[in-house]
Amino acid sequence: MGKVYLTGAGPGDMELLTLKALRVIKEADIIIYDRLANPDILEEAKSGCQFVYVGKEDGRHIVPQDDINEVIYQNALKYENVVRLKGGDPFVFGRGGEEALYLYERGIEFEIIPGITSAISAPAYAGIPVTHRGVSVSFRVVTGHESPNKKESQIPWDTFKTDDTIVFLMGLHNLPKISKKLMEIGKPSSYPCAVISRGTTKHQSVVVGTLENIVEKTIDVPTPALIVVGRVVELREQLKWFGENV
Amino acid sequence: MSINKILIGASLIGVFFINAHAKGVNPVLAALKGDEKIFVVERESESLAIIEQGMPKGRISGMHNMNHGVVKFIDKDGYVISRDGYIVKFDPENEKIVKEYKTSDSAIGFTIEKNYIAVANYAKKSVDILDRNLNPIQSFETGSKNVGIKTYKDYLVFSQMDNDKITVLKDKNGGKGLPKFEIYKEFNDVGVMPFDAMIKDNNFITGFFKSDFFGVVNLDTMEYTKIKILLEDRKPVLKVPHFGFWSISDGNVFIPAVGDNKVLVYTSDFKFVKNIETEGLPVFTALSPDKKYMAVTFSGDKFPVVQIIDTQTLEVIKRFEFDGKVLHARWSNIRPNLYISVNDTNKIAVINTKEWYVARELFNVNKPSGIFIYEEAK
Repeated sequence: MGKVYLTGAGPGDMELLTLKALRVIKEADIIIYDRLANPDILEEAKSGCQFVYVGKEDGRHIVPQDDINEVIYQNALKYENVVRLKGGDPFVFGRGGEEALYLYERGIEFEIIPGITSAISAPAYAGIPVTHRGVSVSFRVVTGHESPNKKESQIPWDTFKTDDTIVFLMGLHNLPKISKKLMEIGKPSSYPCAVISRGTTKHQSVVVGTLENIVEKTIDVPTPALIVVGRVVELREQLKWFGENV
Repeated sequence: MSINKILIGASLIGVFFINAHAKGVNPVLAALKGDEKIFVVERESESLAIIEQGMPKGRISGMHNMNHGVVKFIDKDGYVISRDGYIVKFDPENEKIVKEYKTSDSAIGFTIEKNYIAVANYAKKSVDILDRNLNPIQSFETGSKNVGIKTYKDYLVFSQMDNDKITVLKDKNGGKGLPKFEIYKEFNDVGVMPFDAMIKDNNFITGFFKSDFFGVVNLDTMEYTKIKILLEDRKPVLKVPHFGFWSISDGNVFIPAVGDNKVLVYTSDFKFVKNIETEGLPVFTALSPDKKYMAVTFSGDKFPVVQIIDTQTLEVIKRFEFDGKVLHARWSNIRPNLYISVNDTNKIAVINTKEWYVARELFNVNKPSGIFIYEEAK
């Protein structure tokens, strides 16, 4: 029986992979991976390593979560070093907790290797600090792809009124709904926001706008992309540092 | 009488807008420039909470009974009056109490000048003069609760609530060094139970608990006149409330109606203009530094609501509702901010007054009431 490393692959820039993640990838007998912002990471694996793709794209699951859990479990019975590689961080909208519980219930040893989440790193590469003294004292990371069909949203929209930063992950398709909702709760239509596509990679692009015009400005923006809403977006004017794919 | 002559001096301070783009300064950072330190009366914990750079920083304890606690600043000194008669001098920059002195068992009103502090006491029934370091200089026994204490030139003016009297003291030393006050003039039978007062230019104006007019002392001629405020139907306003709750813009006077969902609007010479229908019973109004807007707070079940009135169109343009009673609203002189005390939920809400949204909530301020701003740049 092997050990499973629930590993964060980081946001995309290869150099944002942790040393620990790199080590377990190099030692892995099998890597079960999601859609990664940077597939080059897989090239670090040793010769003979097996690869299983269970990813999801734009919120569409190729393999249901229950099946993924079972794939991990079955491979843990077969291999010594199993790496479950996930974009960003395994516990930030990564369902890593569910996978770890599944293994726990079956007596499989596991380890969590955090990754740098795109929620902070993509804004950082776009020159947007998620907190800034006097501007934003906290930030929230919110799923951007809550099903629009849900009768009652689980997102506490009413608490999003202030200048504290909101980062919506995986929310590009719901951007019209998100911007409309934020204006409904009282944010001005001129309120700053940004969409960061393929953040931290050489393909990064950033579109800055307002709640009123961000939808029309981002029609052709590729995924994966996240949305940053807050006054901190205005700091990009001075803090933009990363060469972007404009 | 022109109301231009009875404007509240403090409201004359203009808004300082920073032209961020012209200097290439990021607008969001430019909005942070110009330091202000906010002191919030924590009503039930005998303390002042300190807010700096938009963050709660701590508190100064030992302020005594802060029910109706009022803070005033002069130069680099802060002074607090407690409900149980203490004057506390504190250092707003180092956030420390310097000294305290108890003038009586009950007091609400005080005024500060360059060389002295004058306290109007309820009990004992006196007006006490202290130096800036809180050493007592003089005490005037009046036999009445004393209210509405104000200064003009070398005069110190106050009303005696139980004696229906207005007293004018004059500093024999002419404002040089420590004062030596003596009674200069007294006006008897001014009205029944004078209460709050305000001063502008050469006029001392007092309201009454039980008279349907207000009284004006011209401090240059020492003449006393009574002015009636009439409602739309020519009936007099029954009760002139707290002047601190009024607002006076360039053209109009705004008075919260007592017992009615209205803010009453008058011209500068008290001709009726309009009733602005409000959501609840208005408690007080606070004018923005540029006088373009006015915040109105309410009592009863509309306690959590603040409405914003455009003083040009006389229309309600915005409404905010909080999750607890709103006890005070204070506009910043240097930032586009309106600070709101939300007493029940222990927070200060910050409204962005450029775009009218709740930009921030500052938590862990215990049962906040009065908000007072120390502008460090002064």
